Amino acid sequence: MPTHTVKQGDHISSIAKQFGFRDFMTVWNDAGNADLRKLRPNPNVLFPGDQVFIPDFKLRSEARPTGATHTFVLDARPLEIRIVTHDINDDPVPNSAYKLEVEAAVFKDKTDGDGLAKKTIAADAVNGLFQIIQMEIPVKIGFLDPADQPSGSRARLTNLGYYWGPQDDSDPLALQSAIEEFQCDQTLKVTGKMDQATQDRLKSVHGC
Amino acid sequence: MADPTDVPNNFDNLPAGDDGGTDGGFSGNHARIEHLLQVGPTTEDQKNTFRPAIFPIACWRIDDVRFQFDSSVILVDAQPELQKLKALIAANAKAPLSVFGHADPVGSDDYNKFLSGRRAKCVYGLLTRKTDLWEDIYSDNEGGDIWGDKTFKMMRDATASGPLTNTKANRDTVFAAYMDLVAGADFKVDPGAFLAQGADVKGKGDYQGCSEFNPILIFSKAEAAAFAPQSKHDQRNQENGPNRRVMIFLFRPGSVVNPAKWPCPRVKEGTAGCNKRFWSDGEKRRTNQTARREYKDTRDTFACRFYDRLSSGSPCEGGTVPPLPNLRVYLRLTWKDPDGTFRPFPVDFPVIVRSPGGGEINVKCSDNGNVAFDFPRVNQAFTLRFETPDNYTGSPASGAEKFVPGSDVDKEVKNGLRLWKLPLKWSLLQSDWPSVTDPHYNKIEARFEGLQSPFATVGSDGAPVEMQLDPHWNFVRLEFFDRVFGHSNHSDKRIGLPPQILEGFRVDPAVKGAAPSPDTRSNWVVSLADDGKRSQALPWVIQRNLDKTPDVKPDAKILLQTIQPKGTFVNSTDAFTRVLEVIADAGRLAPGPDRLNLYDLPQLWKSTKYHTRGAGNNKWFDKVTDAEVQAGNNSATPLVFSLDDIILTDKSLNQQAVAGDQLALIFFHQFAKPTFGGANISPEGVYKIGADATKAFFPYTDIQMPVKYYVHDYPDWTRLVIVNGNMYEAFAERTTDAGANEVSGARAAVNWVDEVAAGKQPNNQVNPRPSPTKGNGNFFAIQPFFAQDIHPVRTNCLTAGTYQEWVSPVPSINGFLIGRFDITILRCCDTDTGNEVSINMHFFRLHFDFANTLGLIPANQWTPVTLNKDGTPFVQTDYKKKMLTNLPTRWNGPEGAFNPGDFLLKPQAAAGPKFQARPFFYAQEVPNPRAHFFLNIINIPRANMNGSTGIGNFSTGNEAPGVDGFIAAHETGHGNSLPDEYNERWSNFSCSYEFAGFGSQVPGDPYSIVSSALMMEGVNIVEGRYFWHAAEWINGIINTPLQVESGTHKFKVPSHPSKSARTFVHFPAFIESRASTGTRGLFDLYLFTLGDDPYRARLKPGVVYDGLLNVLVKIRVKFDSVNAHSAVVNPLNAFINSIGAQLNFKFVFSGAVGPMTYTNALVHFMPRILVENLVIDGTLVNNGYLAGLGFNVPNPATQAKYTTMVNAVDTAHPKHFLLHIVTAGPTGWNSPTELRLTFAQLNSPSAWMWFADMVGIDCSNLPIPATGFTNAKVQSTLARRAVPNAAVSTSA
Repeated sequence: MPTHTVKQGDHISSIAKQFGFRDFMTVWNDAGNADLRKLRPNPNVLFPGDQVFIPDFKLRSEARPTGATHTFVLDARPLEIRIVTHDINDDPVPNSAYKLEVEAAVFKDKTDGDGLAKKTIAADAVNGLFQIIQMEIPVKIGFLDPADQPSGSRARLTNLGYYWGPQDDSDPLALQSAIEEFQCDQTLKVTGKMDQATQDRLKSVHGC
Repeated sequence: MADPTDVPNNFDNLPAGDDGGTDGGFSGNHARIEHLLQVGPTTEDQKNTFRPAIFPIACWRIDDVRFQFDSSVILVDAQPELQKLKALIAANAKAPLSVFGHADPVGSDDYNKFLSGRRAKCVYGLLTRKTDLWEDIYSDNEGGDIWGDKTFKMMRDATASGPLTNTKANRDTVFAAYMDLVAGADFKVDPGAFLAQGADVKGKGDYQGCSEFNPILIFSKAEAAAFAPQSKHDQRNQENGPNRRVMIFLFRPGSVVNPAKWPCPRVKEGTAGCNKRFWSDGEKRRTNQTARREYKDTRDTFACRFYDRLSSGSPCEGGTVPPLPNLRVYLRLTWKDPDGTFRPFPVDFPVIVRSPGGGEINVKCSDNGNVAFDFPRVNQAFTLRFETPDNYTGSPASGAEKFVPGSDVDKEVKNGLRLWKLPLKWSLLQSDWPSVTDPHYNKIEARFEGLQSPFATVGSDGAPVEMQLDPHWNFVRLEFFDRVFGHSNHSDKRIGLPPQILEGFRVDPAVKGAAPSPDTRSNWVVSLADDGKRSQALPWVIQRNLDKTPDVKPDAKILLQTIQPKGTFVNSTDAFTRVLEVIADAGRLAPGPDRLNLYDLPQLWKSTKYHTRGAGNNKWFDKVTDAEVQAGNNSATPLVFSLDDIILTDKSLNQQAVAGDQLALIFFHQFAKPTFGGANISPEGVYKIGADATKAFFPYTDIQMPVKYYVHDYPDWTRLVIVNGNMYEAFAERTTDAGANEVSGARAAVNWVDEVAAGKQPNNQVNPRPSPTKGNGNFFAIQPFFAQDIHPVRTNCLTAGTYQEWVSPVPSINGFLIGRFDITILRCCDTDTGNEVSINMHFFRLHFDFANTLGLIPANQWTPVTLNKDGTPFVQTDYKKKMLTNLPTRWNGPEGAFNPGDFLLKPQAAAGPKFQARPFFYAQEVPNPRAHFFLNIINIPRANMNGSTGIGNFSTGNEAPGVDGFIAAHETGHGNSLPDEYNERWSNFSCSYEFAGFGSQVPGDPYSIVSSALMMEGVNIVEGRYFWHAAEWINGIINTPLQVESGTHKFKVPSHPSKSARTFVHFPAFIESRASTGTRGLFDLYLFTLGDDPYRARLKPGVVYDGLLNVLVKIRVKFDSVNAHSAVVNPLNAFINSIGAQLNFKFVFSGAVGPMTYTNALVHFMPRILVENLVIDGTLVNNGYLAGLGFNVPNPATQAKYTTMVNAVDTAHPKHFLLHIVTAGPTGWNSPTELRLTFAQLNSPSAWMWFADMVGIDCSNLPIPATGFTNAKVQSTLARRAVPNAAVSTSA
């Protein structure tokens, strides 16, 4: 079996599905991905260029007596999208109606008491649209890069409303402003640099 | 109106506030900020947090010059900037505000914090009209900013508030007035419209001062040093001017901040909160550096990071807004179809997006009416216009709408598409899109506006802005009567035309012929399945002018028009299926039973001056109101036009106006009262026969023609209109609007020939008689003043000779023509068991005169009629009404024993055309110049109608059936060209040779051998042969030999070559006058042909004779002694009867001559008696005939007159023999032409033998019965004179 090179939008669930695995853990936990697991603690937050080893299929046999009906329960983890919404004062938006479109699926629901919107989605879903508090936000699933990558921290600052510049490094002042503002809000030392503490806090505040 | 121009004019008065600077400020939009949520999915419990950014979408700045120097007092000069702000807020609805004051770097941070805060507070107070805030500023002299009495006075003077003193209460008044003055009384901002919604009483989040932390200009070190001396401070302050400013940011709609979390400190708080939000290099940014720095260039002059983030790229801070990304506009264009369903504009429907600057984007609809395009936001607004110069929308029964070029319309109509034509050039402004709800859509201006806002959206992918065009359908029903299924399957109702293209013009171009370039066209039909409700729908898309003034259509100025290819018919293929079909096959269009399935459509129909029904309220279209036309905007109340409306035309199809007081006599196509619910139709089929006897015509019709050629009230369906005595035939012709016509496309009722042309009035022999005239397509033929020329046969009796067919030796015989009426054939009036039913109309135009107006009756011989026969007062109108209703009743039947009413003219050949014609008599009263007959209604003993001269004389009682028969019906028979059948009656002495010479006898008299009250003999009974001339006339028109069918009788005789000028009914096939043979034979021979009618059957029950050879002997009788009528009538009758008993019904022959073939022709002997010296006594006079001739008893003059008459008759009709009844002396043949007999001999049973001598068969020695009068002798002596191969036998 081949090795799959991650491209933007890939995550382990979508890769597993692409190669015919019902359970991404079969791929993720394969010995061939031991290094990757170290590099990327979150299997659904991979980075373009990462190499994912795709293991061979293994037949599994179960022995049961004949003459009876046997029920087999498939063990597959549903893939979810989970979004906590805050307002501009950074307070969670609880019990707020939202509409979430993911590919062809349309969910209409309310956030829970913590402002969380949570829906099971297809493993290969990519595009979405999130409508809440009179806003309409395009959603790209699986596009969140690891927090230790500049693109990953920039995406998290974007999701958190600190950064709204271009999704590249062409406006460093805007990025610095975002980092400083985040640091200020988090009572971190305001350096304007994405240091480890800031990175960790960012990942923590963002939620992944 | 003219075509719309291509420039929508709806960009005036666009909201401003977005276009930069004034002398004292600036306003503009920020760059749009897009959110994007990049998430990691999870199978665990990780999450992604989304928080919207807080950022402004627009900004407004007011500069230092609008404040007093070093003061927070705003100046009146700020009015323009406040107006800018007003517009900016209007253009960015619901965007919350926050005010930021800025000071220059001169002075302490704290002082500048206070001053900048007070300016922000001043502006906030101004906008919210919070005078208490101003009082707060006034009373709290923080720093050096003292408003003081001078400010109060300035504001008081500026507002002309009067001589108020500076008290707190007065300040409140003056502040409020000053605020209104500066901001404008109508521009206020609610505190709730600010970012923290006024939640903090000290304004946290709503207004704040930024001290000197955010200058847009920082001097270089060198400049700072140069400005240090006191003397340079003015210059420094001036240079620092741009830094002293108040900003208002407008935030993303929906943004609300919690004051507790808002970083900026309140106005009266210190700068600590500010410093906390400084850039990490904030102090460095504030420091004078080597070079002078300006924010717009270096972006590093603001120490406050929080403010820097808000103002990032703000045009109010000298930043440049990157070009806004185009606005992706998503629209969905639909139109309301006539049934109320919204249908998408078709794929490829072109849309032109027009901006205020004139820029245009050409786009097209994709599927489902969607149109999406990228619109440059800087253009602020757009409207849509459309150029569809020759395009249609096409709606199939199912599937996608089609965009159809004009060249494909005919094809697509055939494909069943419903099409309507789009206007040439049009725009949103000119059309109605009532339901657009997008907040950016300005319905009044018909434009999307406010699009310069970075946050403006117009629809989205999947949820486009729905734009629904109301095409303003107007419903028009073009109806007609289905002539084959209308009565049977459609309840005698008119039905709507099947779909075809209806065209509309906004203003009638009033051109002849088809007007070009209609403004609207459509073949859309609603209620297609319901004949009674079906109507066409025509869209009137353009409803106003470019200057927004209404130009509502349709209105009363429009023209509606349809154009069909030549030869287009509605083909009723069955009772409920009708298709438009172009038919060029002449065979299919010829008259016949199937022809009624085809209803001709006009090549050009126009509403101009057409009569409207329905919404049109029975007005002519040039008289309808706008409201009436617009009532047709509802499919339940369409404008209705009937294609059966009738225009009287001449033979060139030009409208032919008649006098305004003329009434139309309109005939229902069946020429009878319908068996279904056809109300208002008389037994003769006259529509709305009236009762008002004062009207000019009879029957009294109520149908007037307000427009003097236009008949709009008529039965369903109409075959014939008669006006003023002229026939207008309505079947297959349409008016055009060529020539003098004003009405195009109506049913033309055509007067193919002017029947009442001058010179034909009564007492005026029409010479020559007109020939038949045919209408186009052979649906109609007429021969006015029809006559037969039977009479002159009499003149030939003067000379001997033999001939096979008589030809008049007298060239000028026209004075003896008999008949004055209009004979017509109206084809395709109906169908009956698969046959085409035609009507053979016999039309009499009669004029009644009660005053001897022409003076034809000698003055001493007439008196006016005053009493009816029963003694009741004579009423002229009653007399006319009776005659004119009784005449058609008698001649058309059914009427008891007199007329079975079932006469039909049908092809003789069983395999002939599927045709039948019904003879139909109709008489109408007309003014004298237009009449066939001038009828004197006078007291006269004997009625007559002279079919030659057109003069008639009637007395009371003649107008109705009576004891003497129906005199007027008999006389009308003469008018119908029929001769008397009684003048040579031989069996009744009272009417014999003695009276020969009446104008209309048939010599040789074939039809009075058996008297049975036949109409032309006994003045009562109508039989089939009376219609033979009509059968012959129709044969001459349609070249099909017909027979007259009635009951079991099928009457026919060979066709005369003249085809109706003469017929072999009353005209002999052979005549020989004064034939002489044998010792004394001298007689006239008349050979007639007998057709199958009741008369023939009555001659001898059980025997069918098909011919009649009449042997006529004219005998003048002279009595030597007894000569009183009472004394001679019995012996003479005995003589005549003995002849009949011995010789008649004995001899028959077969044989052929000319066109005749006989199998059983009867030889009949007819003595004619003229008594030379009859004594006129009461018995004879009571007969009435003599009385009619003016013989009165006792009266010597009368006797002399009788003698004169006998001599005149004998001169005109010379006797064959003189029979001298002697009292003494020798008897027997005294000379070859004189026989002498005694009374006893005359009375003898063998008297017939003397007659046998007269016909050339000597029987003097033969016993009774007359066995010597043999077949062989009859054959050789008589029959073969007429029929050379005659074979005589004994009759059954």
